[in-house]
Amino acid sequence: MIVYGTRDVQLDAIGAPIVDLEDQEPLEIKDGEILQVISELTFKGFDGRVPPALHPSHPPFATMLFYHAPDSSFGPFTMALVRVSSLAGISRFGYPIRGWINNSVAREVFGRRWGYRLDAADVSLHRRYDRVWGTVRVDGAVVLDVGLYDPEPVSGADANHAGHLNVGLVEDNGSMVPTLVQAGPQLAFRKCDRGRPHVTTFDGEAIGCDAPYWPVSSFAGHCDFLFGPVAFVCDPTVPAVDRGMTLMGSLHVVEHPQHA
Amino acid sequence: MKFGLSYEISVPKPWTREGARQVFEDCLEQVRVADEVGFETVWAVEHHFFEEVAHSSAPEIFLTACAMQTKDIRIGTGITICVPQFNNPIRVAERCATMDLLSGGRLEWGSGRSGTWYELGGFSANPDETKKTWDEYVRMIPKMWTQETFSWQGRCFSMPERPIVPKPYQVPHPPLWVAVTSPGTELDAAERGMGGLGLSWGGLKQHAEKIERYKKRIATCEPVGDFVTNKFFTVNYMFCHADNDYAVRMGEKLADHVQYGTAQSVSTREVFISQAYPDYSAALTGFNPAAPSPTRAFIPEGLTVGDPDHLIEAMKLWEATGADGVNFIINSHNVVPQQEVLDSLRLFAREVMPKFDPDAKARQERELAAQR
Repeated sequence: MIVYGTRDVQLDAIGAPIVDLEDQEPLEIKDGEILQVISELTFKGFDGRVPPALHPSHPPFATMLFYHAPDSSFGPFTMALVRVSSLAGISRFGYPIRGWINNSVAREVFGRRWGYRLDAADVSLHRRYDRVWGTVRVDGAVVLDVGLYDPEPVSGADANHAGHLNVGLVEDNGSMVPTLVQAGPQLAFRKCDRGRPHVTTFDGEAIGCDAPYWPVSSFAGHCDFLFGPVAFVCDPTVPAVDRGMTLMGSLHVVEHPQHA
Repeated sequence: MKFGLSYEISVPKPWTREGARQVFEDCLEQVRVADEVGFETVWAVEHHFFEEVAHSSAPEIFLTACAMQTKDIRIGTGITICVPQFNNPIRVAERCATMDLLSGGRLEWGSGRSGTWYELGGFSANPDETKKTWDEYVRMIPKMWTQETFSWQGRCFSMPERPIVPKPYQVPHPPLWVAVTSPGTELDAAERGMGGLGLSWGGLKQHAEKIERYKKRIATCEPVGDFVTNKFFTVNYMFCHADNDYAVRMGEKLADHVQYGTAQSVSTREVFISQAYPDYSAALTGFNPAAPSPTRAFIPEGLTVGDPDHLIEAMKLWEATGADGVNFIINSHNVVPQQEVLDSLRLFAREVMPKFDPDAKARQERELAAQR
């Protein structure tokens, strides 16, 4: 039995950014930094987390991501994202739970171009020789603190970084329609380390998700980011197979943007 | 070419005691028919936690049941996970030798290491170590089978001198195989003189290249066992029916369910950063929609679903890759009714198999004579 998500996407559409698919200027960030921590969620904690267009993964897991830009056309910023694992057909994506950023201009641009829903917060990424960690503070309270201990060098090619399927509002025949928007940067690593993952603080109530309980992996690195144009958009309520694609071929899904 | 069956033993929800039991009974009935009509080997995977997709977590037991109900068909572990947290090597040698005895020397021993975080994480195994532990197992197990007493001081396993019993029925020991999924594992197989069990798809061209590398390397191998198994098998879906359109629809449904179910389990590569698990996502999905069959535009090249003529055409493509055999996945999630699975096996054996496996025709004739 093929299992589909059950989430009512309207829950995620409230306050979702309006995405302008005509404004797709790429954003390149040089000499950025990244931290990714993956930790398993309980099956119960994952229940109802992704919409019908997506499938759950076994086991379910959360990905905590920090992107730091020392400079950009909007000035420096640090963004933090909490995603849950999902599949569209057999392609893997992170589905958003919560996101934060410490730059109001970047916040607006990431929402408008790529559907990132980001709240203003004090977001920071720290690197020492014995550990790397990222922190999100909201109104002075730490809601997320994750990182890695004992970094050891690996190839950036081994660092797996899934794309994002954001929920944005896209204009369709005069209406604003909740839509899954594929986004996510391409990474060109200069340096990458893996390490022992840790989740020190995960405020489930503030984040809106049960805390992940089983740390799996983490990496941190120096890299260039390229946020390119939206690769595809799709209806969150319709499974990939019902969009005329067999699952067998769905790794090759490159759906045409509805508004292209 | 030889033909085998590959079992994951899919038990769809809603689960009932009788439903689960019926799936196992259906698989056994299929194997009995496969034995009668000339399939060479039945393989069973070792997977854990793959609910609905693969309930073959104890393949040695299922395969022993197969052996007890058949006469000729060989039984193959496809594969035994050679990671200490999953299987102690002494127990592997003991269990497999027992299977070989009970089956009258019909065991093929397939080895591997698991490719999913779902399984490795579940058993608290370290993905960085699995290639190394597999390598140690395949050097130990044949010695456990052939030496009067055995001792070992290794990296993942050590033991003082003991007699490991029973010994296998086959002399010197059963053939050795390894699952080939990650790029380069075909060379691991060849260097050790082991058969290659292709468990991914990857398309015809990729397979041909892989097999060519394997055949070239095995010519100068250092075998880990007492003999070389120079064979490379691949895997495919199979549904054979006189009505080609019906067969295609059914075959697509079967393939979709397996592909989806496989993808749903989180691969090691997806969450764990290790050079021990290279990116083989393309290989796993590899029926290439951009290269359809010459006769059916929407059927990926090489997919063995259709009427006998189309299957012969597809098998010729696989034969041209240099594959020594193909193992078929014939059902999943009960998408194919049992009677149609059995009819498909019989039709394939009657119309397709003899074109590629002369031994099968002789086996079929013997079987018919015995029935008379």
